[in-house]
Amino acid sequence: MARQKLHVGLEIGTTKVAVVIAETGSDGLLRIIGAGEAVSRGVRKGEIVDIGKVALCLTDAVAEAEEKADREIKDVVLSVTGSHIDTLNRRGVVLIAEDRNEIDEEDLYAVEQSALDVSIPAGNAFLHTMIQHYYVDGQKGVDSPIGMLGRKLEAEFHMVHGQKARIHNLTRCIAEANLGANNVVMSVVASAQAVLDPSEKAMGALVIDLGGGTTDYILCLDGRVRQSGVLAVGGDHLTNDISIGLRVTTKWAEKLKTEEADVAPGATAARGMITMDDPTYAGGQVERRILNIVTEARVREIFTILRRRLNFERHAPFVGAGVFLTGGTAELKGIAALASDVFGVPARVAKPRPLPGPSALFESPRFSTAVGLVLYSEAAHAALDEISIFDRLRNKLGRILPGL
Amino acid sequence: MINYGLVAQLSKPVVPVSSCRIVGLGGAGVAFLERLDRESGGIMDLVAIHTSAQALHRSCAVVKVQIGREATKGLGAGGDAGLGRAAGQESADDIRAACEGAELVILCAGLGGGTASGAAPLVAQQAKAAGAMVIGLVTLPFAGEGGKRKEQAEEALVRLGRHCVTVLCFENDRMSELGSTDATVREAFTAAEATLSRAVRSVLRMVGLPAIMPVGLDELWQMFRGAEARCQFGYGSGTGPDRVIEAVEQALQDPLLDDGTILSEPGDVLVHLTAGENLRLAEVQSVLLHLSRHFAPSSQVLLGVSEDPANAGALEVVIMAATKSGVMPAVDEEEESSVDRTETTATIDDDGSEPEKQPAKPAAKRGAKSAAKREGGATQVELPFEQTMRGRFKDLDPTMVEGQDLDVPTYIRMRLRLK
Repeated sequence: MARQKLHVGLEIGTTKVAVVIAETGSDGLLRIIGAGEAVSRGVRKGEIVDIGKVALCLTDAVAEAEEKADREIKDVVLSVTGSHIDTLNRRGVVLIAEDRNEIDEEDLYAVEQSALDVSIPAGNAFLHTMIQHYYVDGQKGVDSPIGMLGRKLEAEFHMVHGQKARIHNLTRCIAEANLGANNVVMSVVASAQAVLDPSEKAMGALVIDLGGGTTDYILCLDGRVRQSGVLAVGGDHLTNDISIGLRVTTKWAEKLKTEEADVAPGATAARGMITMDDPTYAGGQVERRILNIVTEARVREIFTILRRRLNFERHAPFVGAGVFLTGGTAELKGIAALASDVFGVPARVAKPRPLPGPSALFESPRFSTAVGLVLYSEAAHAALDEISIFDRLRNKLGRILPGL
Repeated sequence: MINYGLVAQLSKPVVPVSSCRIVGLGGAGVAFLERLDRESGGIMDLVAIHTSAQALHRSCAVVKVQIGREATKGLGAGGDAGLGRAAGQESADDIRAACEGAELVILCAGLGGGTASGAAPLVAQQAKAAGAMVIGLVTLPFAGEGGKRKEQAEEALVRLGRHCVTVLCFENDRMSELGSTDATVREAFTAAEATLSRAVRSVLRMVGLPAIMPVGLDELWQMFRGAEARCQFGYGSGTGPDRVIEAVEQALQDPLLDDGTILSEPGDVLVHLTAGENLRLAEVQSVLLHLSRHFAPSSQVLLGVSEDPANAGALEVVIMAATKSGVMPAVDEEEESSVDRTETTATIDDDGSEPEKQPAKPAAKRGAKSAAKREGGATQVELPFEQTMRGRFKDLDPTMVEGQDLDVPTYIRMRLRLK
């Protein structure tokens, strides 16, 4: 019997704090019932630099969401990002004991432990271990090896780890706002949950979450996570570039970025001037062409770095669903055209998939992560209901939620 | 390099302070000795060389050599380098005698004036002949002081470079960068002197302190052989938990470092650290890591570490860099002709010890290069943008990806033209 359950996603971003409250009704459907947003202070490049300031913003955003949802929240699922997040792909191996050769839960646990036996920097902790493939006696493409016969079980995992101290800063902020954290999820893992449907994951997709301080990416092939990562460059860098290149204040740079800049490949030849309606600004006008050159150079560079990091040319034939751009900076004009130019596959700007509930609350690329957190929380909760007590103790969500 | 059995007792100083001699030449050089003497507590071996008897009389140096008694009658050279050169030749033997027995001579002079510009190459030559290794430490005149002084200074620098292992240059024009904009003339000169005096002292400490990883004179010699005459020098010191960052940052901003641009060209770089017994290996690695961002990947790095028990809390970093003259851009026509002019005068006065057509005129090339830098619009973006162009990210750790600081706007790093 389905229970009523609240899921709260909380994203502490560089430019905004976003909260989404959802509820699983008695019909078993997830409904979004409230959302809140506040300007973020005390966060730089995705990482918290001032706990006190962040806690204040947090309280505002939570209060707004609570009011809309008419619920009081206690526990949240948090997203984490920043340059300290690192990922690796790794294979684990176990030999099945002689006296039995049917693979069971215990073996899945053992193979994961074997993969986790890797040295990461002291002070780092694993956030996710996501299964890519199981191999039984060398045979690839096994989705669920439980009950199969075999002597050797191998598994490839995509692992995400980050600095405990930075993650602690997040939970500390929440505690300051009198909330508790149920779970901490890599930001882009959540975003992908929100923007991709299962068929798109299966076809292969690259999700790029362009935030204020960081650009996070995740490559899904064949329904599984192949690669993910964080580049500590985001919309703030665009604003900074515009401010330096055009010699305007940060406030004007922000406005030019969101309202005027066009990063489509042809837009660097744009003509004309943009008049800034501001008596305090002596110049009065900036050249549209220069604005586009400065912004296009930055966004193209971000995409190019990701393309190289992912070795994208090799994967491109398997990315059938294309590139999904989300996050606040994905609202930039012409960005989809630029992305398909760089990656060579179709690209589009994606907002969270429709869910029951007042969609105006969250239907924007800016809310992808927070909505994704709610979906992640729900999936994790549902899975926890089903699985054995054995796994629940170990809370191995990464494996239980294959891929995403 | 590290003999584990002997680490505790360290190596002996490479060069005892007693065999280092500081020579002050000309008005500025002699006056500079004053400051060195005060700051070092009088332990340095100072030699004053000047044409002006009066200036020598006031000097605190132990050894005083009046040159050109005949040529100048005990007055100054009056800004005439020819007179300075004649004076030097007249008293060549006295100069050599004053340098006898020294292993390292640091020659301090303010180029541009008569005595220093004329006699500096000669003094260096005599010191070298007396068996010492010579490092030049010179100031170059203000641009506004006019063509003649500048020409004399450049000329002297070229010839000085031939007899010195290397030359550290301070351009007076950079004096304004040392202090606040409303610094008085006295303050500015004091700050410039302080920079130079630090340079002298740190070179002496480098070769003079007990070392864990010593830098020998032979290694210095090797490093600068075949390199440009002019060397880039950076000194920084830090204390407390962030001493590594403090010291590295300060060293990279040293006025003798020419904005650090030279570091990114391939060449040899000497990195020398001085600290108390508490220097951690991690700190040494951290210094190298921070600096290596600024070096060209193919640069050779020579590392030295000395221990200074008297200064336990501080960490001092010295960077000396020299680009190989082979990689310097071709000298343009105009510059070459001016050097030729130098050559003709040089052969008459300079003892003829050097062949007339020296293939490398390093300092002149350097001059040509920096002139090109100043004029060329296209190369303008080469100026250091790291600190100034990071805008709102200036207080944060840089985002280094593939060797680039991504906090600096892309269009600047890609050198896109906006106009």
